[in-house]
Amino acid sequence: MDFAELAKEELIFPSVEFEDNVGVIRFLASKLIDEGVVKADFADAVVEREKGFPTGLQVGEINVAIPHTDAKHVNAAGMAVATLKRPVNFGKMDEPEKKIPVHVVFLLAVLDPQGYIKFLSKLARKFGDASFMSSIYNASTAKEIARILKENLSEPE
Amino acid sequence: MVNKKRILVVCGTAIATSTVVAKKVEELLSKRGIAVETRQCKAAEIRSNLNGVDLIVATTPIPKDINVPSVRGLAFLTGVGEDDAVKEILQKLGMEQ
Repeated sequence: MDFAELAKEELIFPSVEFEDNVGVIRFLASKLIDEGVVKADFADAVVEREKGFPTGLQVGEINVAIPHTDAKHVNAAGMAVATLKRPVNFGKMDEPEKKIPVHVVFLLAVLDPQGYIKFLSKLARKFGDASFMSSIYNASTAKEIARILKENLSEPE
Repeated sequence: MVNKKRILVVCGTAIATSTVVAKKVEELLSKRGIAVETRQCKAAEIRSNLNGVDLIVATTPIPKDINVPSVRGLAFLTGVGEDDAVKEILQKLGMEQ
């Protein structure tokens, strides 16, 4: 799998606004559904999982969430990304009862965990990199975010 | 040769996060010359997976009454605080270097 291929410009949405985390998850899921990346029941499955096992990661000034669900709801490996003009609350993965403001959401379509893991591993390493996170968050176009992701994800191991 | 330590890696649904964490833990310990065996499970299935486990590394909270030592594992996903988390693993395995 070419990691850079997962950062598709048409699935990246900068500076969008939602009332809550369910809003942003459903929006991104609908885009993945439209593209045929995931099945119609993907959105419900992710929302349900997020309730029990939230995916917010407190990594610094700019926090992220990586909602995802079982492969049975997925057709192909993929990802949809949103940066939020106003952060929305997600539960913390390690302390689900605590809510944290999340600025960037990576909705993950995981098909074959083994192949996807290398990608997720590489991506998640970048979450702790404050300059990477602020460059993503401050980018104003999908094209720019795709470029940053591709640059950072396709560098050699 | 010491017996390989067994580490149970726990996350919400054992789809993605625990796999990333398990690989990272294996890699970081192997760099220090320590071979471990990792196994993954969902948080809800932790009790039935404790047999022979020396340590739990979890990205989600685990029940307080589990009497196997545990380490918080998010550091192995994001890399933030990873060195300290490795030290904690070594300490809890009684293998401080």
